[in-house]
Amino acid sequence: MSDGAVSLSAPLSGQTVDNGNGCRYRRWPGSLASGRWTWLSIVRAGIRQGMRSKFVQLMIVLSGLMALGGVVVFYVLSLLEVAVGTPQARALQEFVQAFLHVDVRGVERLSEIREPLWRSYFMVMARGQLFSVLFMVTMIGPGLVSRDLRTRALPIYFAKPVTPLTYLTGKWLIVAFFVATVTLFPNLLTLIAGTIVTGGLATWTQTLGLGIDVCAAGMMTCLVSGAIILALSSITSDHRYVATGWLAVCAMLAIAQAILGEALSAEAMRGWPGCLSIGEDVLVVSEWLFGIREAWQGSQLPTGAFQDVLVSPVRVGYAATVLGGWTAAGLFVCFRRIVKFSRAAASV
Amino acid sequence: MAVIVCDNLFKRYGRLVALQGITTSMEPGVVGLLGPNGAGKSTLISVLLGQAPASGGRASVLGHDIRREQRAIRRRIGFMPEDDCLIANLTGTGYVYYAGRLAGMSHGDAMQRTHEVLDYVALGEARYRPAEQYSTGMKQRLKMAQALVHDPDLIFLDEPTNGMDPQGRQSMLSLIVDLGRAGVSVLLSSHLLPDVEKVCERVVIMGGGEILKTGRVEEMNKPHPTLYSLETEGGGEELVRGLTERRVAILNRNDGIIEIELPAAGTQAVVLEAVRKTGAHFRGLYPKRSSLEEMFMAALRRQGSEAAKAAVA
Repeated sequence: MSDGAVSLSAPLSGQTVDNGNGCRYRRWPGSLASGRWTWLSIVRAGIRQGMRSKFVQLMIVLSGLMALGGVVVFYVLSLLEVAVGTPQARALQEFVQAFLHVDVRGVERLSEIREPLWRSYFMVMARGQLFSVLFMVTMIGPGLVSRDLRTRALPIYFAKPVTPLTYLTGKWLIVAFFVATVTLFPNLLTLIAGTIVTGGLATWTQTLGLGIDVCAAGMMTCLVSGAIILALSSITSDHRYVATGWLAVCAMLAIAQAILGEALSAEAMRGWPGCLSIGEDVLVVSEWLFGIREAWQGSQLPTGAFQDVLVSPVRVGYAATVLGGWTAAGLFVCFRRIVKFSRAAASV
Repeated sequence: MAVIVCDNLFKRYGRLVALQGITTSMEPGVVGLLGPNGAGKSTLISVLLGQAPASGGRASVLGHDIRREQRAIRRRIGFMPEDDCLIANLTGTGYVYYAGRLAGMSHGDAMQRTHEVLDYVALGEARYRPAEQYSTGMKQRLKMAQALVHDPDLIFLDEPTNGMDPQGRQSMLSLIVDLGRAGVSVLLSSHLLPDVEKVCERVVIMGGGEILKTGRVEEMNKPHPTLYSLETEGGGEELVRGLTERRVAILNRNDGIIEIELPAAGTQAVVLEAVRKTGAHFRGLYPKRSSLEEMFMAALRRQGSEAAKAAVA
C-alpha cells in the first residue's frame, strides 16, 4: 500500500515548510478580472509561441515585402495615369496586361479605371496568397488543439474560468491572426500606403469601399481555414497527422476538381462539381466580395478586355455554400471534441 | 461553513455508476479523499469542478452550486491534476504565468505571483527551463504552483505525490500542511494511506463510488479501548479457554497472534492472568489502532468484489 517513505510517527503539523528556502505560503490580496477576456490570454500565448518559428517569421517578412511591392505597383500606376502616350506608359500598359490580364491599351485616362485596376490587383494577389495561407496554416494550426490533447493540458484550462467556447475562440483567433499576417494585413498595408503615395485623400474616396472588401475577404479566409484546421487538430493528438491531413484535403479536392473539369462540360462545372476545391471556392467568393465583375462592367472597356481577370465561372452561391458548410462542420466537430475532452478532463 | 456539500450525488457513464448517491459535507482544512484506484475520487473531483455533469443529486463548492455557478467556483478553486498536463513549449515561469492569466489575473499580478509561488514550491532555480525537461517531482511542484497562482480558497490535489522520491514526497506533504495553516482548504485525493494520515485533519474514504466512512483522522487512529492483539509463544487451546472463561472474546487467531475483545475498557489484567496461568510466553498486548487502515482495506475489498462482479457480468 505504501512505499514507507513517510513515517507515521512524525506528523508534519508542527514543522516548518520543507521547500528549501523556508518561505511560507502567502495569500494574495488582489482580485481577479471577470474572465470575459480569457480568450485573449489564449490568443496572446498562441501568437507568442507561433512567432518563435523561423518559417513563420520568414513568411510574414515575405508578405510584408509583397505588400510593399504592391505599394510600388500602385505608385507606378499613378505615374502612368499622368503620363499617357509616352513609351514608358506603353511599357507599363503591357505590364498591366501581363500581370492583371486586362487590356488597358484603349483607355485614354487610367484614373477612370483606377478602382477596377486596384480590385484586380488584390484579386491577383489573393491567388498567390492562397499558397501562403496553405503553408502558414500548416505551420501554425496542427498543434493548436492536438498538442493540448497529447500533453493532456485540457484539465489546466477547464479548471480555470475557461469554457469550451472561450477555448475554441482563442484557438481560432490564433489561426486567424497568422492567416491575416499573410492576407489581410499586407493587403491593408498595400491599400493604405498605396492610397497615400497615389494621391492621398482624393484617392481615398475611391478606395474606401475596397478597404471594406479587403477586410471581408481576409476574414472569410481566416474563418474557413481556421475552422478546418481546428477540426482536424481536435481529432488526433499527433500534429503531424493533422498537417498531413490538412495538406491532403486541400490537394485532393483541388486535384479532384481538375479531373472533373476535364471530364465534365463547362456548364456542369458552373454548379457543384466546380466547387470541390476549397482554394477555388475562396477565390470565387473573394472575386464576388471584391466586386471585380461589376467594377469592370462599369468601366468603358469592352468585355473582352477584362474577361481573363475573372477567376471562375462558378456561381458564387454554390462556392459560398460549400465554404459555409466546411466552416460550420469544422467548428461543430472541434467544439464537440473540446466539450467531450473538457468533460473527461479531470478523469483522463 | 462547509467548503463542499454533496447531496445524493450520482454520476453514471452509460451503465457504469461511478458515483452512487454521495452525501457528505467537508469542513475547511486539509481533507483527505482516500480510496483505491477506481473508487470514484477523480470522478467526484471532476463533478465538483463542473467538468463532468452530475447525473443526479446536488452539490455546492464554497457555497456555489456546481450546475449554475461553475465560473464562480473555478475562480475560487485550484486544481492539480494527476497527469502531467503540461502545455507544450512553455518554461516553468511561462506555464504558471499562463495559468494565472487564464484565471483572470492582470499581467503584472500574474508575473509577480508566478515568481512568488515558484519560490514557494522550490522551483526558483529551474523557472526558466522548459517545463517538459523537468523531473517528475518538479512537474508535480509546477502543477501545484499553477493551481496556487491565483490564490484559491480551496485546492483539489489529485495524487500529488505520485512518482515522487521520498524527499520530494516529504516536501510536497509539508507544502500541503503549510497551505492548510495559511487558510487554504485542501482536498487531497490519494490512494496512499500514509500521505493522508500524515497531513489531513479529516478523511473521506471512498470505495466503489460510495463514501464508506468520514471522520477526523485523529479519532479514527485512536487506540481502541477494548480491541487488542495478543502475541504469545505457546499456550494454544488452553490459553484460548482461559481467555474465554474470563469473558474475553476471541476474534481471530493467526500464528501466535490472537485478536481479542476485552469485556470492558481497562481490563487488560485478565488477559495477563490467563497467559500466566497457561504458562505461555507473553510477547505483547497491543491496542488495535488503525481503523483508518481497516476502512481503507474494506474499500479495497469492496473495489475487488465490484471488479469481480463486473467481470462476471
